[in-house]
Amino acid sequence: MHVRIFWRLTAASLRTYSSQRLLGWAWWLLDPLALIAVYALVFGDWLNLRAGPEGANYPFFLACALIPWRWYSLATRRGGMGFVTSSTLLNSTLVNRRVVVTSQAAAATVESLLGVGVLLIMMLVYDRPWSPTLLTLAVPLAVMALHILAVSYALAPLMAMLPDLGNAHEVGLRLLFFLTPCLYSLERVPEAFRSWYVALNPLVGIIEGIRRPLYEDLPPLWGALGWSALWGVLLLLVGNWIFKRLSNDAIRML
Amino acid sequence: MAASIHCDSMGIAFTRGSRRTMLKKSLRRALASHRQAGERDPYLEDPSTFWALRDVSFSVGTGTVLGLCGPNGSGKTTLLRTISGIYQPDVGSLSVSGRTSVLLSLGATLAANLSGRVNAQMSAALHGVPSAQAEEHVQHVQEFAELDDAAMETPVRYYSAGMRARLAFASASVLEPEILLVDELLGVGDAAFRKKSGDRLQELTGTAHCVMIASHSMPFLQSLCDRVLWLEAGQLMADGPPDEVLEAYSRRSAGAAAVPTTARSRPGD
Repeated sequence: MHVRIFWRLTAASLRTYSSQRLLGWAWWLLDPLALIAVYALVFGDWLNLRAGPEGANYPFFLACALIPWRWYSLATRRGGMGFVTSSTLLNSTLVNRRVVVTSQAAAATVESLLGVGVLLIMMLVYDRPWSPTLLTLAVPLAVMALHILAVSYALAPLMAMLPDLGNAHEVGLRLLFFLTPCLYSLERVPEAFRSWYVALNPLVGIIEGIRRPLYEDLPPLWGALGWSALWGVLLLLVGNWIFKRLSNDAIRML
Repeated sequence: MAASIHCDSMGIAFTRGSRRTMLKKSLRRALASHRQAGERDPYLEDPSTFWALRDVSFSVGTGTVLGLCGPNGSGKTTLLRTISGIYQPDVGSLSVSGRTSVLLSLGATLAANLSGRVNAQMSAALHGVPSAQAEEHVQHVQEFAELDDAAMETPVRYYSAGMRARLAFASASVLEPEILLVDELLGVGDAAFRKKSGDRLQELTGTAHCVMIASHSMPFLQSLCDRVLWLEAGQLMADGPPDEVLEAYSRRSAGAAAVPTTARSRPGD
């Protein structure tokens, strides 16, 4: 029953989004394309990162990180706002709250899937070979999904109680974006700090883990991905604890 | 299975004040390793706590239409939300047996940007209708709500209040729930809809179901209910036959004093 409610809520969220906009689903494609174009121009051409370790195919280098990053930011924002956006439903029907939050994050995941189309096209354009290394992508993608669920479960009740957390989440994401190797290569991080950087930023292992098989035909940095997975498990434990302990109070504040 | 609701000394508390106070209090409660129930009277005055329900006790069984009356803010909706499982009691106990369907406000569960059909499908999923029967459910909803095919394909935001009421009521009532909780819905809509929904409720109770209706319409409660609860400031003032309870409530509304049936002296009173 929970699975059916999950699918219904996910589909309803997607339909609601597209029905309210003239271009509907096209925005899910236009948004990442516009981001890649602007960053490629500013960082690739004007700041000449193409000449550095990022490589001449800088737009593709960017796409490999920006598309998963967009998935993470969109899904944690939607999942985190799950209680607030579904307040009427939660206050009028007995529905599994975890299903409501997960369905919001899942709707954002479906939206982000169009970005995969952009990546596939870029793989063809940049003549990127199809190799078994691409199968290793399953691991960083699974760790990313773990992070999204953990953050969504933690934020959903907290954001219902304290709307300021919405702003804090936006600011945090912006900072984390520049602290994660999305626009630049991991090699640019000073070697003295690199191991700390990898261990303390849970998203480094994931973003690198997605980019390396796609862009360089190399497997993920397993050590870095291990740190990300460890952070994911810890965050999920904390997120579950917050969800379990604060959901009842949060619903009353909606 | 017989439908029943047993509510024993139940209390529901809300924190009042700034959001910071609410969050602080919730975090303190979340971090507390164990409850300290029984050590002191939970209803002791605390300026940051507002008891939406206080010490409410009653039982209701199969085949009963139970009315809820009381002024705005008396706790009627909170009681229905608690029985439906949306809120958990802070004090006392609540046991509900039977498949529950809840209709808490006019079209509250309807998603405005989605069509009537999609909303009916969603309600089928939310109420646990098996996939194979979902289309049949939508058909029944459409027939009961008297909406044509074009209306069913139209986003609900374009519906009139009456159409929304019909769709919402149909979605919740065609399922034959064992316990149906209704809040203020039936006072709206045209005369024909009020009669149709009233008939449907009587039909539901005739097939051994339990219905709880909160309403400000005394004639409506009098005509439909077997028993009425009167709530005021979260406390149960009276529980009995509609004639007696509604008359007492009318007198109170006209200015006479009333004493809660469940009132008891507390430390510091």
